[in-house]
Amino acid sequence: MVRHPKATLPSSLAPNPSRGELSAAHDGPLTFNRDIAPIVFEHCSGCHHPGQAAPFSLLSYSDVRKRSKTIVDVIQRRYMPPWLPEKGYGQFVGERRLTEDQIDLIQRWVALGAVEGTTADLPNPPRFDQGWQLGQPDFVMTLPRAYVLAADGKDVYRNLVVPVPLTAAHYIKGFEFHPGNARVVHHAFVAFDETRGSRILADKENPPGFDGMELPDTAQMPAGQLMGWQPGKTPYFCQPGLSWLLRPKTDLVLQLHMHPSGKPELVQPTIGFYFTDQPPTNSPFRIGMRCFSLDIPTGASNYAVEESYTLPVSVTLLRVSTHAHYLGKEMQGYAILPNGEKKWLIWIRNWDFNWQGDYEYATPQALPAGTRLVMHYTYDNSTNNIRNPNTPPRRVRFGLQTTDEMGELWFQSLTGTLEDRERLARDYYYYVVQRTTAHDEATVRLDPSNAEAHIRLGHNLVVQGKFAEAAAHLSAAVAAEPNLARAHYEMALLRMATNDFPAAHQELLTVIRLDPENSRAYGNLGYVESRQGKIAEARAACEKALQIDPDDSTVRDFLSSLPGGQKPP
Amino acid sequence: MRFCCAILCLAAGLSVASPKPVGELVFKDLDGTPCRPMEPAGKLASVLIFYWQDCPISNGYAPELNRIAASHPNFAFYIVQVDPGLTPVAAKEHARQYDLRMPVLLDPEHRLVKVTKATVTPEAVVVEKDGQVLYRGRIDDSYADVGIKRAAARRHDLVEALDAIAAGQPVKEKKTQAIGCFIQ
Repeated sequence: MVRHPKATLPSSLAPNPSRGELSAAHDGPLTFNRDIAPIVFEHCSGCHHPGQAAPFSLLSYSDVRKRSKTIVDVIQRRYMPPWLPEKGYGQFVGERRLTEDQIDLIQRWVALGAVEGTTADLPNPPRFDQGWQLGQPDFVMTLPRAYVLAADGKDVYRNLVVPVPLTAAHYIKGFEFHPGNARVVHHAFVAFDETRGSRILADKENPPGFDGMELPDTAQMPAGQLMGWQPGKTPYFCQPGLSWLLRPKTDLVLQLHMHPSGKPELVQPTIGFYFTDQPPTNSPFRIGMRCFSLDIPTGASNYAVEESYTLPVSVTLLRVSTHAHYLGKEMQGYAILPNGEKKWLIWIRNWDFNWQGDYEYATPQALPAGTRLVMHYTYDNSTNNIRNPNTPPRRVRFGLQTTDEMGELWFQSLTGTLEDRERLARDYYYYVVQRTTAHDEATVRLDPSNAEAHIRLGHNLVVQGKFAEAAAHLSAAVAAEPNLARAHYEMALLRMATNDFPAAHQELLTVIRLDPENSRAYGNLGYVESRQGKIAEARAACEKALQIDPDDSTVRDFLSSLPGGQKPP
Repeated sequence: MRFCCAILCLAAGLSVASPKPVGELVFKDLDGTPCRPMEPAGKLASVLIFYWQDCPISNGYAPELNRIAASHPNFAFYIVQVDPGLTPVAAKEHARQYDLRMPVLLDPEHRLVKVTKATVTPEAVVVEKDGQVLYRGRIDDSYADVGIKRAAARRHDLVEALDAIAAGQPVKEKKTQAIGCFIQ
């Protein structure tokens, strides 16, 4: 079956440019200089210039002329400019989409022979500073070593962990991310880890990073921010009053999604931070709905899931971000207001993993308490979905691997008062615990030996004070995987919560035997031994914890509070 | 009578598909060696890969093209660069960066494009000695459209065609739709 290229006009239909039709707005035929250049400069050149993500420049008549057929093809299909949200369902900063009229204009200009026009009509081409878009940052860090991306093969998900070389804490009001090789970095997430969690993982795997889409829990985007980067994204600036504190000895954790290009590529990102003296006057809160129950049957072409969360307080939404993998099809995010009215927050009709991003509302979206936030996503696990990673399709469930599937809708929100933020945080925490618990209970029903699910259940039950149930799940985790340090660690926390210090002590020794560099196990061992009156042992355990992680201020403070301790200098 | 007409039409078709002068098309590769890409002397056929040096889909295939060429030594492979603005110096640098291990020809006037009727980069055209096109189209089915890529190709159309030719078998799918950047 031969598909005819859509942009090719039969020559008999292509009008003669010298007798070209008149454009609606102007006298004379459509010309590049007058009619097309303004659209190209505004919507295309931002990425299509040297050093940027796009594979070629679109800065001049000849650049555009020689690719005009391809340009018409990709803009008619709305593959370019890449912009997933549907028009009219949330209005965002930096929207790149072309209007129907603009697409029609370009298509007619090409059909009429792609005339250049007179120089006098040509607007000044945009000038691109090769450096920073927002001026010199206060602090710039470049990754010390480039990552070498192989010439071909599958897409690579790589997490790079690098210490931020700051000696004092600074409030950050914004940052600009330079991927270091925009042609192959398709998107990036910027996170920070104040613990050594990410670094330990990187050291274990392949320093200075590790592969995969999963970051440890300790790597977080600070204070409710959504920090993504994708080609064409304007640098990230917080709203006034929403700065965040970057402490010394924090690790920058960059998650890069890279496409091999056909030749080996060096990727060495740089990030520039902008400081402010202004501490935050408010702190955003990240509200996320995540669908854990995804279980998409083989061949299902329109599998739908829905999650919702009802706001306990009024909030203002600043940004939105969606996430799914390659089976994701359509994404709807909306709010049902207390009066029943439906308010659209985002609609992505054709999800494309490669162009995922976060979007800042042009006007913050105010939502009253009692509003129900709804995420309604569909998935296509049939052979019709070209991007289906499984050939032939197979049953796909929730998971972090690219061949698993996810469904997430995140909002960066702001509350009116700090009290409201506290209420929201508490309410949301219980919502998350309840949703994860429901998912984990379903998981262990299907697979009673799933230690990870038992551990999460145990942890969440300890938090809720349901100690007996927690003990049952943690025992099941230990039975399933006797050498899993985390199972023993959670068991130790449970024993500490019930003041059973001898049992806690035993579990912590097991953790240390299985995972000798676990500083938290040593820290807790110190606490347990102090409660058992074994002060010298407690001191030794805390010192060992600090030897592994010298930055753990909790342990340091605890050590100095022990009898015979000295205040740190 | 009908049978007769079919033969006549076929003959007419062949004479259009193989205009006489094609074998005389001489190109120099980037080292200055003359090549007759439409006249694969000593080889089973020529494999012309139409290529645009800054088309990301073309470039993404560079390692695969090297693999196919290495595993099919009975064929004469050529990269045919179609961008009229590409200089020999830039083409050499590009071939070095992407490690293209086959002769690279510049076709700024689109002489090879016209004679083979190539429309897209990357597009493969396999030509026999008499100029007859044995296969034309995609390298494989990795792309369903620009920006819509499979996790892995399901069909390796070019390799299937070359293997059939090498085995003296007819090519099953003589024509497929290449996906990429339009040649113009």
